Amino acid sequence: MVVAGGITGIRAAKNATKTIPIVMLGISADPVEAGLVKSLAHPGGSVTGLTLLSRELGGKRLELLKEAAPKVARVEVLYEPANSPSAHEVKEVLPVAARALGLTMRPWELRDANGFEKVFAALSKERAAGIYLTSSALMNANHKLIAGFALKSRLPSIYPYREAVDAGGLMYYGADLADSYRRAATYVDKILKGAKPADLPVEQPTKFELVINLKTAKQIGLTIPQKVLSRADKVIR
Amino acid sequence: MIKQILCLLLTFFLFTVFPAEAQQPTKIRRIGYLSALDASGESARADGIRLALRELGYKDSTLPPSTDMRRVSSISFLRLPPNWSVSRPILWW
Repeated sequence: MVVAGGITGIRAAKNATKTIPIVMLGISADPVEAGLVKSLAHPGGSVTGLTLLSRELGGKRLELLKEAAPKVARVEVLYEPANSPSAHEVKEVLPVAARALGLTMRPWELRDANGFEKVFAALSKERAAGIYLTSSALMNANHKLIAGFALKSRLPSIYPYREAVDAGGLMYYGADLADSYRRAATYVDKILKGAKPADLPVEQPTKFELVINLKTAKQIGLTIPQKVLSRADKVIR
Repeated sequence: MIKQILCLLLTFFLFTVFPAEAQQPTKIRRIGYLSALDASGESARADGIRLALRELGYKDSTLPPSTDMRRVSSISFLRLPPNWSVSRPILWW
């Protein structure tokens, strides 16, 4: 059996085998749109598992960033255009949320790791006020770099990766990963007991968590309002 | 005498009908973990799933096998597809 994380990993596993069951997790894309399963209720093939609903949470992330850093009026959105869920989030989800929150958003395209230096230089020049990171393999592979830049530049930032907050990013909001692990293990257990992936419905997260790095907040000179802190599931002090 | 014969027959019956169960080796399942994400960050996720599997009663094959081990998960490696191009893509257990 293969447990695969992220759309790139899941696609690679699916391309490699038609018979070995694949339990997916950490996927921001809609698995039906991505061609991984026939439907959420009846996956119909060798792939089943959990989605992250990450792009649907974009509005909530923007809202939390605005509440944590009320002075931020413009948010710099880093995304990988080749990643269709990210592109959808930037074009469809975030503009609506930004308008409702009275924020201006500015998308920055990153096509490979070489582009970060150029974007960081432009952000420094343009006096960026806040950073919003979308989800993709490129962004995840470079989340430490991005968190480091945000910290060095004293910018409030929010991430779809829990690990980025451990690396110095300010905030994470998304699926409760511990819960996702438990549920992924349940899929493994069911399949090992004879269930077919084709018959196991794809599940969406039911628990979400907000993680705030208060050490980072202090380092960037940000006082996070108590009403935001009180909603955090974990505060890194 | 009849008792002894019955006892012998019963013993013979038990060992001929259920020999496979007595000698059945511990079943080992192989689970591969595949990810395109950063290996250092991803290790926490992989450990999270492994921990959740332990909570369900599975044991790592790295642990010494024991007779009471009902279910075992173990390390597996899968060949990467030829079009795989991410530089540090995988973490396996």
